[in-house]
Amino acid sequence: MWCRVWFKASRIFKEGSRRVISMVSVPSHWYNIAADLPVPLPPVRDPDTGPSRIELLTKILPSMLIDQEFSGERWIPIPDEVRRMYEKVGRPTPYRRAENLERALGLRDVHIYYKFEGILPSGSHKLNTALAQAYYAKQDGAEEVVTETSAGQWGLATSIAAALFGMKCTIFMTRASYKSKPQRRILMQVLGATVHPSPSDLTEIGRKLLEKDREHPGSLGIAISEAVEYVLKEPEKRRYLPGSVMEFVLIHQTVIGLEAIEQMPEQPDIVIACVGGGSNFGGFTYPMIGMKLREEGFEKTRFIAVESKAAPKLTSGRYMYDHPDTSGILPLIKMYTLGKDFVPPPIHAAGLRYHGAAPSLSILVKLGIVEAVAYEQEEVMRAAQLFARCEGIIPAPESAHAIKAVIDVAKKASPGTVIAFNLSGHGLLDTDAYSRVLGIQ
Amino acid sequence: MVHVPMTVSSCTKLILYLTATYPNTTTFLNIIETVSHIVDMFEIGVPTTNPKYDGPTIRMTHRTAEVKGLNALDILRGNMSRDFIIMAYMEDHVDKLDIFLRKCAEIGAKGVLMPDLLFDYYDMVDKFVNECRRFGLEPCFFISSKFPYREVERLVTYRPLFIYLGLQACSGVRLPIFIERNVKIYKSIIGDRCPLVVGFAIKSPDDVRLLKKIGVDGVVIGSAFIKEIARCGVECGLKLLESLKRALVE
Ligand SMILES: Cc1ncc(COP(=O)(O)O)c(C=O)c1O
Repeated sequence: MWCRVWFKASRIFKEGSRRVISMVSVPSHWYNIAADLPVPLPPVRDPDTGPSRIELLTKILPSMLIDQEFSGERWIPIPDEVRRMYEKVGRPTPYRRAENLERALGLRDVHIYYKFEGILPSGSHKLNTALAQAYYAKQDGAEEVVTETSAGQWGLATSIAAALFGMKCTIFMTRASYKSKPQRRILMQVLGATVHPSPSDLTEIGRKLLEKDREHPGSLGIAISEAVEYVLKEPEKRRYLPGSVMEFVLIHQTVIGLEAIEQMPEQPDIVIACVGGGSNFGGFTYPMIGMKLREEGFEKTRFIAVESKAAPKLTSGRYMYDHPDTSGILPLIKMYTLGKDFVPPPIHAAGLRYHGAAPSLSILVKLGIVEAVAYEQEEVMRAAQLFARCEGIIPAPESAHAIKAVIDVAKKASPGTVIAFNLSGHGLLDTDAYSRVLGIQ
Repeated sequence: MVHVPMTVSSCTKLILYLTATYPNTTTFLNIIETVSHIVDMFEIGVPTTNPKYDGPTIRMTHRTAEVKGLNALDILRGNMSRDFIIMAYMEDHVDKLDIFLRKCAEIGAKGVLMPDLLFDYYDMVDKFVNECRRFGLEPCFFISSKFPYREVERLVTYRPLFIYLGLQACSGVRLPIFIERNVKIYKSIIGDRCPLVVGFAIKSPDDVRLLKKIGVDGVVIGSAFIKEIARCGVECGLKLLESLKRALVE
């Protein structure tokens, strides 16, 4: 399969055409970077005490997702039904050039391209894995899918996937977002999901935290713990769907990068995406990084991961074994982390408020194959505003982090540089972020 | 000592994992004596306080072994009638690797397997191999089910005694992983250049039949055997091994 993709892409590069190829198809396989990493991924581990968290996974996750987490396959076939769903929701998504932004920045022969995941009905890339995960949950005979969400991007994607597959859906939404972002919550409910503010009194960990602080803002780590605990109450009927961090999530998201490679009129020198848990970044960049590692292309390309200064695991965290959830129900994974108990300050890019980064991304950063930068909220939202005024698209606050990095890099780039980034979502439901940070009443 | 050459062949070897001096020195030696006639090779673990990649059953054996640390290996001297390799975590021996390897050589081990070598001490592979050879020991490598293909290629060039593929996320815990696919992937990379041994949560004759069919050169039994002797004694453990051996030679 790969040869075909690369042949097409390289042919286009050779022609030097700036045409945007729109006739790409939904990929037939997902890409698993584990097969090509320069060093092996450290295995998941159980903590020293307590029951085996690894054993518990069978009660929490759809079985095919467990298989994919431990798969040695480089190319994982996408089930026909999931591919059909991808088409139904609007894949392949567009890959466009931001010519107005280039002009506004006064760039001379520096090209900026973006892949736009915001056209999906969920408004973000999250639907790519939600569809696959709900499909596998249903295959396991589950009736209900359960998850966490912060800004609501993942919750909305899960709600859509559950609706499309005819399943019940329960969402634990961080309390800070539950209050400040009612729109997505309402849309989840429109789609049939039940949404609880997290911490909630439905779970033990939730009750404990509420005892200390009735207005606890919550965090993704806490919401994950609640979702998992809730699933474990009825493991025959319920399945937990994680929104990021797990390797299979990154694997599903590679449809973004695989499509992008086919769509690219010119090979980028710099590729940029934002990082919450890493699935957006991995989904966009891994197919390219994989080619670089296999020496099949992108040899000189730099890859930049952009995080929020509110949750700076890649730039200030430690590389160590840690739990992906706050209560430590899930096995330990080796990653850059700020510690499972770290509660990031409530920023508008709530999807980036997470303490760790996926193991594969962490390794790539550690090896220097991926660079990492972190930005403050305000500079990011100003970049988003500039992009909106140039390109007519309101970016999600999370995606705006990538835009800020693109602008900084582009200003310093030499003529002939090509930059590509993933615009992971639109911000049409993030008016509060624009209003508060930019002071627009 | 009986040497069953560890080579790539049509005959799949039966390897038994035991933690040294678990549950106590006497029973441990009794187990070795009772099962030596059907086991092709032993993998003996050095009891550690941090068996990081092991599942609950083998963790328990590390916690309860009578003698802790390298001294637990002393009872192997002169008591082994079969080939054996030593399994230990690099984390415990990284500062005194030569002391550890000397001990392995002194007690007559054939090779050494350090499961965390390739994950946590990646830069030490050359040193590990050279030091093993210096002490007359054969290096063995542990890989996971999602190991980079090129790195497997590189491991083959060290001519290890074998490459050990962990079929599951940790020992003794069975997850819904399509192990047949994973084994085929690594078998096709390694080919006939080096023996491929597999382990983690293997417990039934059907399991070993399937693995034999895919062409693995050895299967390691660990948690299943320990559970069996805990359930009804060494004789039951022996019966389990006999049933597995039958499936391998039929
Ligand atoms: C629009 C958008 N982009 C990016 C991210 C970060 O995603 P990831 O966790 O996949 O890195 C999120 C997370 O919610 C998001 O909603």
